Amino acid sequence: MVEKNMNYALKTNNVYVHYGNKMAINNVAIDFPKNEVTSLIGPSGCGKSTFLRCLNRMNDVIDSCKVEGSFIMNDSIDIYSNDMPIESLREKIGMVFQKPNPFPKSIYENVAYGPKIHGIASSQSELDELVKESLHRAGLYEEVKDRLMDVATGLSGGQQQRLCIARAIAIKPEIILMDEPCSALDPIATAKIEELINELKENYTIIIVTHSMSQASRVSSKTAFFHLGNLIEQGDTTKIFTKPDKEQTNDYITGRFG
Amino acid sequence: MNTHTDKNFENRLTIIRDQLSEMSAVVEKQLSLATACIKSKDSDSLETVKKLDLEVDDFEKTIRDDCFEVLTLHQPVASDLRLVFTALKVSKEMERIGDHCRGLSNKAISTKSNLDPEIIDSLSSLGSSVHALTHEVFDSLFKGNEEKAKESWRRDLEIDKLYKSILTTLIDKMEKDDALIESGTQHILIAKSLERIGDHAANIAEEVIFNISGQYQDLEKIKI
Repeated sequence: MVEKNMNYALKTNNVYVHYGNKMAINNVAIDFPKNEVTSLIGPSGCGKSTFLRCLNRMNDVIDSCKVEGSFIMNDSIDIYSNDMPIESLREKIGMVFQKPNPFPKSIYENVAYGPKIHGIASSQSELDELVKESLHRAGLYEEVKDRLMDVATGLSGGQQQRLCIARAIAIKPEIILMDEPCSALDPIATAKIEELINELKENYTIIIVTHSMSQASRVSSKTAFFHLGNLIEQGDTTKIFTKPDKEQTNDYITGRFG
Repeated sequence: MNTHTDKNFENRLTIIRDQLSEMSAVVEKQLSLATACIKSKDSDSLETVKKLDLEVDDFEKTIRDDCFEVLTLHQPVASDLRLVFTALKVSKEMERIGDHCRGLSNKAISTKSNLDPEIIDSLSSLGSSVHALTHEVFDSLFKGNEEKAKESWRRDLEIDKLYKSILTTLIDKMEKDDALIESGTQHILIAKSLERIGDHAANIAEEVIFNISGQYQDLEKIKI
């Protein structure tokens, strides 16, 4: 994926992950270009979600999990450095999960929570504006503007997921990680999220784990294929979906696996 | 390559491949009969070529519909997508070859030749070369042989030269003898049909190369 004159939001190298004695990621190196969408694909258990979770140190909380390798943001920040407080890292790298997980609070509070604890807004009016802007960017504002104080869990699944995206972008991250963000959504809600991903890449670098080949081909410009903890192939999405270099990649994306 | 876990999808792709193979056999038969007509003037052959052309047209429509269904229902990618794309384009080229076979055998039968036997021999030889080229291209398609497809593409350049030389000879003869104009013109059209079949074969070679390599290559820039 290394190309000349390309800016990378995040570069990873020699990444190994072990759960106890079991190797989950075996010497993976992927560079993520700025303001582009990269898809991580592969069968269940291939390590793609484990790898994604390394990128904002979500695996730190798993005792048996050992992460090794280099993770450098913007060519300068080592995200596994002892000098990097986890809160600051999560401010830079946001995450959206498989199932929408809004807090049992109001729509407004869900979005305002992050900016409040990170001290991003200095006044109530600034916070109001930030909530509005985040909801707007997540394509949700028009649908909820008259009920911002309603409880968020009353929204539909697709709206909840867009709320989670609004919550993630409210703290102004540089990178957004998405772990199968549409797997619990219907095709219309999925289409809205995909449209949103396309808009969000103007301002953010997006890394998405997906089981849907068609979603990977629709939303991303780069694709990386994992199998059994190994990175089999990575490259331009068009190349991967028209003429992958490796037969294993071809077999997986065409449904010949197993 | 492994087989698909989705057997229905696997079967549909196999059917497309098989139909393309059967279509190519019919087109070769047409071509063989049509080129033989240049010398034999056998009207039975013309009728067979016409009948076979209806079969070829049906194959083209069936392959088109099957490809459309596979695209709609299975959204193929990578090697499967290239196969469907290739089948669509190659079947169209084959259908055009069939049309030319019908046209040229029709002309060969209906034209009384008062030309030198050497000219007819040259035309017949052009027909044999075109037939051989088409056979090679089909072979490269079904064996997935990129190098053979490239060689075939280059052979079409030789066919173009042969056509031009026949054209020059015929024009020269017609300029010298008005009585040869009608027969000469008809034989120019026969030669032109053969040259066009060569072009369609070369187009198929390009599709074979795409099917294997995943990209259309500028063959004119590749050194011979």
